[in-house]
Amino acid sequence: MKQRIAFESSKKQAIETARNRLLVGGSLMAAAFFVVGVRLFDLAVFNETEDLRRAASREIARPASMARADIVDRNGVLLATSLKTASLFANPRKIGNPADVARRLVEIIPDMSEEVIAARLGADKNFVWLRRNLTPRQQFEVNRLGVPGLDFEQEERRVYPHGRLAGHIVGFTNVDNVGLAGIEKSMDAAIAGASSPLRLSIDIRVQQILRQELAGQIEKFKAIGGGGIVLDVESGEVVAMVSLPDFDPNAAGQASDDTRFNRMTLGVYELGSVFKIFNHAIALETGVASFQSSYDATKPIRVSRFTISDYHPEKRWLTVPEIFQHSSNIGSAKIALDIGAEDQRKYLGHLGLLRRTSIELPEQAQPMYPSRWREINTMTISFGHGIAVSPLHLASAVAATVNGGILRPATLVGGERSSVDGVQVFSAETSDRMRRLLRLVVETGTGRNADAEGYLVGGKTGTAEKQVNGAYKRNALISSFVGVYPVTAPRFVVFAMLDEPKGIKESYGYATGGWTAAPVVKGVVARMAPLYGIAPLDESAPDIRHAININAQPAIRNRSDAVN
Amino acid sequence: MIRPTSLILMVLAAAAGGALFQVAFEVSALDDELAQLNRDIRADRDAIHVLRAEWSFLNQPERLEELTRRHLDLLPASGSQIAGTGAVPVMPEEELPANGSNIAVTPATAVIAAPKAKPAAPVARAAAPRASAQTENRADLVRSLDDVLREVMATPASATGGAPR
Repeated sequence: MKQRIAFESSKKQAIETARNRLLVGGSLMAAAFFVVGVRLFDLAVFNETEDLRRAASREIARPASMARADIVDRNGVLLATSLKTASLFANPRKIGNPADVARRLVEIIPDMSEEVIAARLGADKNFVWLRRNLTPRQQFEVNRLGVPGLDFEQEERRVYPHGRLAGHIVGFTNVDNVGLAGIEKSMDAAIAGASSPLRLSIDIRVQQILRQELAGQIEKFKAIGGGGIVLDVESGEVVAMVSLPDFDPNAAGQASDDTRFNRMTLGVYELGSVFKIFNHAIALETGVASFQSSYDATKPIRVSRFTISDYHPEKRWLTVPEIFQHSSNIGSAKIALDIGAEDQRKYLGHLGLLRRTSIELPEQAQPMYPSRWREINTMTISFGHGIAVSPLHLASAVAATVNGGILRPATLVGGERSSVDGVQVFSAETSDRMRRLLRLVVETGTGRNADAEGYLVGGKTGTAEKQVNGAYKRNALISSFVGVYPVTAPRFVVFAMLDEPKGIKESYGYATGGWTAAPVVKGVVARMAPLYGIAPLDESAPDIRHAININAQPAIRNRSDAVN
Repeated sequence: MIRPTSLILMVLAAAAGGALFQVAFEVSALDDELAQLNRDIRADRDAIHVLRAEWSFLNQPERLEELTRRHLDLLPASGSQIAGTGAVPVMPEEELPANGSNIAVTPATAVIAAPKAKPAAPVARAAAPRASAQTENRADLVRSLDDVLREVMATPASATGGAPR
């Protein structure tokens, strides 16, 4: 019994010890679990930054980012974009049998020569390009060959959905997506970095109208080329600009130099009588002549070895409006003598005709004009000879003449340009008088073929002989017409030009601006006006008659009252 | 020799563990789903990009003009077809149709949108109705075509649906 008690007692002792040990161990474990639990709770509930970091690092769908931004027209129509393509390259060191691989590749890419491929595959290099920008079908076929050493690189290729329609404006890039011409070149950095599309001032619909009208006349008059510009007179935005023949920027490499030549910005021409617009405007602005002044145009002017004569001689005294209406060279030259070389040069400079334009195109030309501005130069420049400018120069200066006298730099980039400050070149009054003169030419003068019914076109024809090797060529003409409409409150300048048109039966053998270029302007005006919400006007309405009236009387009578 | 408390704790621990794994698997599945969605979105965006290029290509004015010539009875409006509300004479009362719906005259600026397929001005259409088998429906038909064209022209950038994968 005693032994049992002792046993009981020692057993109890052992249990007590074990329990104590267990308690210590259990507490340690509980403490450890508590720490883990707290940390777990902390991680799960409080560790927001960690969650955010993870969430941020998780891939979130981003807009498809291309190496170059899209180019769109003023209405958002896509003009240039980048599409993903696969380019084939090879590691020649891994290619076992170059000749065999070359033979099989030529079957897939038939326009490459087998020798060229074999030579490239046989080179002692780690990398050779075989073909950039495969079609998806070709990529699939090459993959199916299963040749080790051939691989693809995802690349981007510039695509121009409207092709030749905006080729001269948008330009093109090389295979490495570096801009080589047009907007692609001049705004290369902006396009390459941007994620949002670049919006131009071009309207692809007007572009098409202009191109179509021009192409029709070029074909009709067998011209070697031509061009046209539609310019917003208030903002200086180029709404359309076409140079024919043109090229497809999707295949710019195959285009000839002639088709890539932008006649509207890179070409400089002696544009002829359209310059009389500026001559008359300067005369009215400086006050050397008024609508009532008249000049003797009875016989040609002879200066040293030059003779200045009229194309349609009236052989009488002409008033200033009549000189404009009948496009008299003699009268214009005499007005220019009254203006003087200094003022003529000053105003032509203010009109931007003696420096490069500010257009966002790399294809630009410096105007050509005499370094020594002699009397004979003053006379010939009055009717557009002896000075060569690009058509864009002319359109821009005409816009300044009719919009109240403010020159705003021409631009191809659309957007918030309407508020841009311009330079006041002519007074609003001179501008108003010039609009009346321009309307006179279309109503009763040489520009009748440009009269789009209801849209009050005003304008001036120009026909100039081309200079070839320093001599004027009698039958090689630059025939042009520059129009503004509606003439009472001009919105657009429309310029059209044909390069070397030939006279046809329908035009009685004439290839002048009035026969060749004026109908282009008429067609463009009639077709684009509804697109821009320009309503046709009743030309016989009293207020419109009042706004375009010229109180020009025959030169013999002398009216003292002011114009209107 | 398991006490009820221990039993409850063990069950709770097991439940917590199970729930944790459940959540972990769900997160992983959602991760996969997200990645898949992102891939799809990227593929769709690429497809939209291609489709926009194609849309622009198919909307070449020259092509639209040819299609209009071939399929539509519409010609570009000439200046003489467009008139403002002021130019419309007031119709005598007795000639008004009962519902008076077809005297709606569109101002001249309403023919802005469609580039090539410029609808003939409503005024002109009313003045010279063309003979047709369905004369009553004709105006409605033409108008709906106008609307469709105008909508299509006004939103050239919104190529949606039917993205090839």
